[in-house]
Amino acid sequence: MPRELTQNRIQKIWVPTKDDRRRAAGAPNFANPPTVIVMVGLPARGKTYMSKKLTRYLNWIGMPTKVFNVGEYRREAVKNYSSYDFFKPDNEYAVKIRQQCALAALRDVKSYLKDEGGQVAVFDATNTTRERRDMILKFGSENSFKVFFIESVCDDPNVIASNIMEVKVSCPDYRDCNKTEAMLDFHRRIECYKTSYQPLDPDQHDRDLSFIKVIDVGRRFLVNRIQDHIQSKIVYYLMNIHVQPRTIYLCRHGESTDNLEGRLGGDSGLSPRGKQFSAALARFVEEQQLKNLKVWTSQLCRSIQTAEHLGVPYEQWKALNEIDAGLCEEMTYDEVKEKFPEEFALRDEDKYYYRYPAGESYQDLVQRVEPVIMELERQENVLVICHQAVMRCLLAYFLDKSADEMPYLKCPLHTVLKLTPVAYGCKVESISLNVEAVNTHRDRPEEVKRGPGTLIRRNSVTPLTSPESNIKKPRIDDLDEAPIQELPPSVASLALCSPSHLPLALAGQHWLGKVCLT
Amino acid sequence: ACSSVPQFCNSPTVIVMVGLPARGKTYISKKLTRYLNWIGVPTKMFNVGQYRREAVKIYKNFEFFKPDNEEAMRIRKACAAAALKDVSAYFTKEQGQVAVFDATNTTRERRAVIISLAKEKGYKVFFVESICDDPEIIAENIKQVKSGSPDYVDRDIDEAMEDFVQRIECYKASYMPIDDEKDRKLSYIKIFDVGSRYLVNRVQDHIQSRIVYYLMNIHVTPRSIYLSRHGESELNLLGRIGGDSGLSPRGLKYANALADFIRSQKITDLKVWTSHMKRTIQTAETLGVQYEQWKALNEIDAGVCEELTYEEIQENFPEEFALRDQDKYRYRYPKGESYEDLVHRLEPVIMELERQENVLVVCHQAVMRCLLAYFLDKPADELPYLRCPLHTVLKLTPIAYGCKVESYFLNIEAVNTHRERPTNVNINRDTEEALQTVPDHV
Repeated sequence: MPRELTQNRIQKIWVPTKDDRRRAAGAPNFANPPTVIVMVGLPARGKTYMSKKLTRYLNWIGMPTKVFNVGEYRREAVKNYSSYDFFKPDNEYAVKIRQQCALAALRDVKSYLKDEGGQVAVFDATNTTRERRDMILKFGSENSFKVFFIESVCDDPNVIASNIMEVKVSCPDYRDCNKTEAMLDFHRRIECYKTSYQPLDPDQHDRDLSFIKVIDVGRRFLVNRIQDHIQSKIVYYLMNIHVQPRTIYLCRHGESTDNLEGRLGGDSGLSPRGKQFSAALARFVEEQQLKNLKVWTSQLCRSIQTAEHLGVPYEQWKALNEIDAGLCEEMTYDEVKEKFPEEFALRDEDKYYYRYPAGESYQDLVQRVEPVIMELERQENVLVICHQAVMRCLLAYFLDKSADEMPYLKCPLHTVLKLTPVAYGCKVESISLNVEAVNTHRDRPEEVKRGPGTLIRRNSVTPLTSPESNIKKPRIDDLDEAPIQELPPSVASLALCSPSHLPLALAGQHWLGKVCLT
Repeated sequence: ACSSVPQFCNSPTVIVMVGLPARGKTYISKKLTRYLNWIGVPTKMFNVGQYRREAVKIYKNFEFFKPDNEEAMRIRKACAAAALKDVSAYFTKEQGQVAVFDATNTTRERRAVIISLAKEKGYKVFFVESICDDPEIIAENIKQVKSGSPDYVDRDIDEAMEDFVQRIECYKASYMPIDDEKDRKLSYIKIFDVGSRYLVNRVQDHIQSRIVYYLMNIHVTPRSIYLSRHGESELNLLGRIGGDSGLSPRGLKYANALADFIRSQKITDLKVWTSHMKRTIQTAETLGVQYEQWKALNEIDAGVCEELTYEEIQENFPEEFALRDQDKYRYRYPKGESYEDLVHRLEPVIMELERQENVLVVCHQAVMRCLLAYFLDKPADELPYLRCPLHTVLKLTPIAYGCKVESYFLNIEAVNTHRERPTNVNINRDTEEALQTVPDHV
C-alpha cells in the first residue's frame, strides 16, 4: 500500500503524510559519510584562503561546513607570539603544544561532524609531514569520516611575498611589529617547516589517498581518486576560482512600471525613473574605467532594457530571472493577502523555504543560480543586472549570509553594490545613483508565528553562515601545561586572532555591510 | 536566432586526443562530442583512422603501422592533414565551435603541426591524453571495440587481438607523452588509468573547464539507467498538459507493475530519482525504497498553457500553438519554458547520472525526451518528437561506443500523449489542421 502524500505547506514539497512536519530536502542528498578536508602546504600558500572560500561556497549550497584552523588554537594556547623560534623543529616544548592543538582541533571536528549536524570539516593547518597526515587518516578511519586532502604548492616568491603582505603582516601574531620585521620573521617561520615538508606523493606513498594538489595558484592541478559527488564539486570549484583582482557589481533593473504599482514578478518595462537610472548606470560604469567589463542580465524585459542603455554587449541568463511567484505573479501584496491569506502568512513564517504555489522558493533560487556563481568565480570584472530576490541570493554567497538572513537583505532599486575581494573576504561599497524609486523591501514582520520546530535534514540546500571558530573560551584544561608566556608584556598581545574579522581590521576600508544590508 | 543561454565560446576550440591505441581516445571523443552537442555547443569529431580507411581500402595487417613503412607514413600524414583541413572547414563554413581531433598524436612533431595550424587560424587547443598501462584494461578495450572494427571484419577475435597488440608496439617506440616541463605552456588534461588520476594544466576558459569537469565525472563501470515516466495521471486522462495531479487508477497499477519489474531486474544498489511533482513521487512510493526528489526533473513549464487541453490552446492561443509546431525545440511557452531551457536545467542531472551507477529516473514526457536525446545522441530537431509513452520503461546500458536500449511496456493500458508535428504549421492554418495530430482523450 503506497503511503499517503501531503504537500508540505511551506515548501510545497510532496512528502509522506506522517513526515510532513519535517523540513524536506530541497535537493537530492549526495553526501553520505561526513568528510574531513585536510589542507596541506607550507605557510603562505593560500590554505586559509581556500579553506574559507570553500567553506563559504559549501555552506551556501547547503552543505554544513566549518573551518578548524589550528593556528587559532595555537594562539589561544600561547597567548603571546614572540618569534619564529616557536616553530623551530627542535623546540620540543613548542612541538608538544602544537601537537596538542592539532588534537584539540580534531576533537572539535569529531564533535561537529557527529553531534552538531556538520557534514564537512575543513582542517586548516600545514599538515606537512606524513606522520601528521597518518594521524588524521587514522582519526578519519576510526570515526568513519571520508578524508580528502587539498595541497597547495607554490614556489613563486612574488606570490608568497604578496600573500604575506595581504594576510600575515596584519595578523595578531605581528600586532606590534612593523611590516618589514613581520615579513622577515614570517619567512624564517616558513624555513622552519621546509626541512620536514613531505609533499603528497601520488606515485608511491599516497597513491591510494583522495586529494587535489593545487600548483602555482591554479595553473595546474593533480587530482587523485575522487570518491564521491562532494569531492567532485570541491575539485570543480577549486579549479574555477582565481585570485586576480577584480570587481563584481550587483544591481537591480531600473524601477519598472510593475514596481510603481507594487506588483510582484511579471515582465514589465522600465518606468521613466527606471530609464533615468539606466542612464545614470551607464555614466557610473564609464566612470569606473574598467577594462573588459562583462555585463549580464536576466531574460526579463526590465533587466535587458536597463542594460541596453549601457551601449555595450551583454549576456542574457535565464537563471538570473526573478523568483517565480507562481499563482501570485503580478499581484500586489494586498491582493495576495486577500486572495491567498494563508499563503501570505506562511511566507512570513519562513520566507527562505516558502515556495509560492506553482512557483519558487529562495531555496529553489539558490540551486538555480549556482552556475551563475561558478561563472562569476571564473570571470573578472562583471556587472550583474538582476532582481531583488536573485540579488539577495548572490549577495548571501559573497557576504556569507545564512538562509535566515538572505530574504531580508536590503537590495534597494537604483543602488549598485560594488564587491571587491580582499584578504579572506569581500569589501562591499553601496553606491546610490541618486534617482528616486519606490521601496520594494518588506522587513521581517514583528509578530511572526514561528512554525513548529522543523528538523533540518542534511543537505537541505539551506545556506548557513560559515560558523564562528570554536575558540571562544580558553582551553587550558586540554593542555598539559599552562600557556607559555614567552615575552615581557611590552611585546605581548592578548588578543584573540579571529581571521574571519580580518577584513574589518585592515585600515582604510569601507565596510557598509552589516549596517546597511540587514 | 538568439540563444537562450550565454555564449561562452569565442575562438573555436580544437580538442586533441593523445595516446596509444586502445586507451579510450575514441570512446572519450564520442562521449564528449555527444555531451557538448547536447548542451548546445556545436561539436564534431574527426577520426583520422576513418580517413585512413578511406584512403587505404583494405587493411592487411599491423605492418602498415611500422615506423619504417615510408609509403604508409606518407598516407597517414596526408590523412591527418585532410582531417585538419576539414576541421577548419567545420569552423569557418559550418559554424562549428569545437572539433575533436581523434588520433594517436603521440609524437611531439605531430602535435607541433596542430599547434602551429591553430595559432595561425586563431583556434584554441586543448589536449586530452589518456595514459594506461594496465594490460587487463587494454585487452578489454581491444575486445570491446577493435574486434568489431572494419579493419578486422574478416578475422576472428584472437587474430584481431594479436594483430592489434603488434600495432600498439609500432607506436610505443616513438611515443612521447605530453611533458610537464617542456609542454607547461599548453592547456591539457592527462587521464591516468581510466580516471583514477588527472593532471590538469592551464585551463583557459569556460568550455575547457566544463570539459575537464565532465571528463572527471564519467566512468566505465558497467551499469544500467532506467528511464520511465510517472504512471498515467488524472490530467493525462483528460488530455490536459502540465499541472500537478495525482495518478489515475491505471497509473497506480503501473506503479505496482513498475515495482515488480524493478524487483525482477535484481539490480544492486539502485538509486531512484523523481521530480517534485506528485505523480512521479506517487509512482516511486510503491517501490518501497528511498528516492531522491529533484526539482530539475519537473515537467516543462507550459506557462499560460498549464492544465489546458490542446484544443483549448488552439482556441486561446492559436498563433502560439503554430509557432510551437514550427520550432518545438526552441519555442518557449509564454511565461513558461522551452525544450532548450529544459536541457539547460537538466544538465546537473546528467552530470550526476554520469557519476552514478544503477539509477531509475521517474520523470515526465518532455524531460525524458531530453535525457534520452543525451544518451542516444539525438539532435535538437528530433528531441521533442522522441517517443516516450506512458507505462513503458527504457533500460539503457552503455556498450562499446554507444548505448543499448531495451524497451519494456508493462502491459497496463494508458492514454497516448504523443503529438506528432502536423503537416501545416503556418500561423494561418485552420483549427482542423492544427489539431490534426492531437491524441485521443476523455
